[in-house]
Amino acid sequence: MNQKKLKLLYKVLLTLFCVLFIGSAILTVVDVKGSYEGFARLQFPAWILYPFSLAKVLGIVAILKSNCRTLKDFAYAGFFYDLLLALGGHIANWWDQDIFLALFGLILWNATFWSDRVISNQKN
Amino acid sequence: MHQKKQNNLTNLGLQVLASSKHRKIIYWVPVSLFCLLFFISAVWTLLDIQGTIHETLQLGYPGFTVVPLATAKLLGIVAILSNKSRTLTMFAFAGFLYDLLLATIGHYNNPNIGTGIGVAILGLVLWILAFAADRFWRDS
Repeated sequence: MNQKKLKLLYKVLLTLFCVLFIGSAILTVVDVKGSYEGFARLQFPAWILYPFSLAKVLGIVAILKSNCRTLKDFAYAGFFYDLLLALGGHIANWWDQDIFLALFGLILWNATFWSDRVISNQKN
Repeated sequence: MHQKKQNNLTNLGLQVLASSKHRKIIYWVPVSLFCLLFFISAVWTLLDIQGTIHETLQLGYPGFTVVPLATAKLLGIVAILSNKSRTLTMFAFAGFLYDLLLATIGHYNNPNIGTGIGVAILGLVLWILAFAADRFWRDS
């Protein structure tokens, strides 16, 4: 794949990734009561939605704006663990239909992270 | 990169820290303590899964996290000690940090459960030391 196409693919993937997580953070804050119930259904404590929403926004800012590889790694790792916990929660909740969102997030994460690494390795 | 860091340290008048032998000690002491803490925690969990699930539920976290988390701790230790890939090492450190933060908040919200908040705080302090050691004194 040539450089130009790869960059375009990376931008598309990154946009989708940001929309997914910023959207989830905004939805959480807009509909606090519904999110409380959602987290309770997945067996997570309700207070966790505040640090998680904040962390999601900070993580997206780090991925978009930071040049520090360690910080980006921490953000990508955070999203990965968040998605794994979401997946675990949906599995424990008898494979409810939202599991597809978590699976979609994991696939998107994988693709975004891969293209990010390929591009940053080419730069070095 | 490594050379630059070493020069910076020397410039700061920290020649002791920059010498190879001392650098090794400074790296290995916090990192082995950190890994030991998580190794004990993981083995403890796997030896008494039912008890840990009970404790985790009391802290407000779901029980299904217990066994995957213990496995992840062991894998994280392997990633940090082997240091085969920088990305994996950073993912392990990130995972431990998030785990410790969640543990600290959980214990803060529900005092007098299990080992209490003390071990979580100790873990955070060790995390900072081990992470600093990894960033500055890892032989690359």
